[in-house]
Amino acid sequence: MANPYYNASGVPAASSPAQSSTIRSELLLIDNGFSKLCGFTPANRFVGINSVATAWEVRSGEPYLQGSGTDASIEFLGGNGTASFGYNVRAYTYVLLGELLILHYSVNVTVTIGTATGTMIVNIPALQSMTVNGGVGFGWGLFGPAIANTDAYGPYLVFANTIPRLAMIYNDANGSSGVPLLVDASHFASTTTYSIAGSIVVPFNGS
Amino acid sequence: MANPYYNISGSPSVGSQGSSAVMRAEFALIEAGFDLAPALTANSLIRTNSSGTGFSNVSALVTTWTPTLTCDIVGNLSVAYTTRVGNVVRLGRFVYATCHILTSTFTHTTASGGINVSGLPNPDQSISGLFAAARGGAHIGAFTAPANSTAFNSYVANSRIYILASRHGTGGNDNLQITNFTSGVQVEMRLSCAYITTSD
Repeated sequence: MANPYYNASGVPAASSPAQSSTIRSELLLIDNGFSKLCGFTPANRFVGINSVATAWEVRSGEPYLQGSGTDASIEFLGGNGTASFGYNVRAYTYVLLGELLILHYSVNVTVTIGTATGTMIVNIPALQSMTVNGGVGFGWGLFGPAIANTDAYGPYLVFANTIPRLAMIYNDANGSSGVPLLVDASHFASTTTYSIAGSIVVPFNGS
Repeated sequence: MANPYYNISGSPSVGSQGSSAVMRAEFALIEAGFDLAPALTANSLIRTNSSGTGFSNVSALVTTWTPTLTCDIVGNLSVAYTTRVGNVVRLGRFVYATCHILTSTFTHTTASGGINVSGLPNPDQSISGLFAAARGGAHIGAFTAPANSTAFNSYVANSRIYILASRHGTGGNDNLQITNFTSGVQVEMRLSCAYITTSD
């Protein structure tokens, strides 16, 4: 069956005398066929056909990465001040499919809020070498003990100090503000254990 | 052009006599090149491996699954179905599953715990016992909502789809319980969930 890689030319012909140049030519055709395949780097990238449909290529901008970690952490963008954090759970797992990131995370932490101020941020170390394409994706989250008069939480991908990090949106169920709000230091009681978890799907560029 | 599979060695050399050993060696090099080609794994995409030395296969599959309506402690739960369909798209460790259940029989008196749907085709990669799934849609028919519930969403834990009830005011998020569903009343669920599974 004809294929775009190598098709036997029929040489050497039946009962023909051996001729090294004929064999070398045939082997070169095989060599050329293999040259239409792609190399193996960068690692963890999808493989596809190039834009002119002449060969395979490694899609350098389309990673396939998966990983997990136990080093998620929280901080406050206005400064942690005298706050302290005792972590019980700080897990995350993610898959990066081409330019789509799926991330789940869960932090259980006893917070002594001290003088911390500003928006609460969940840091996921695996994100910090990646570049956000834009948008906030969609996601959902849990935050407890809950903020009064709220009923829904969601992770929100923000840029903070040029590093993409996850804030937490909550809905003001009284509707007084009319806009989603961000969980911040004022929502933390002193020395209380909080469960903070979320899941998000967002466009990403791999590192 | 040099490639990582097979590059002509120059054998047989110009003017050389025919040598079966030389030809076998050349064919062995060609075979070694094919050894580096991707495995012919059904329903998969190809990626470079983590060490940049070869290829790995990534599952890519659109298929169906059979959802089963159940709960944490089954007791004498009895379910029969008028509609029972599930669809799933998988790309590597990312799984997006949907299902539609409509019961023809739904009875229980001793069942308890969170109502859930089992039968997902790929196990979830749980995080410390907490949820490991993006929020999914949940359209559920015929149940008694917990007090102050304002939102219901599906999620995956322990390879099952649960339904989380979010409560206004004091907050709190709890699984819908089998006891929120009246024995003998038809149940309908349309659920969807994205989650991460355990292998490529």
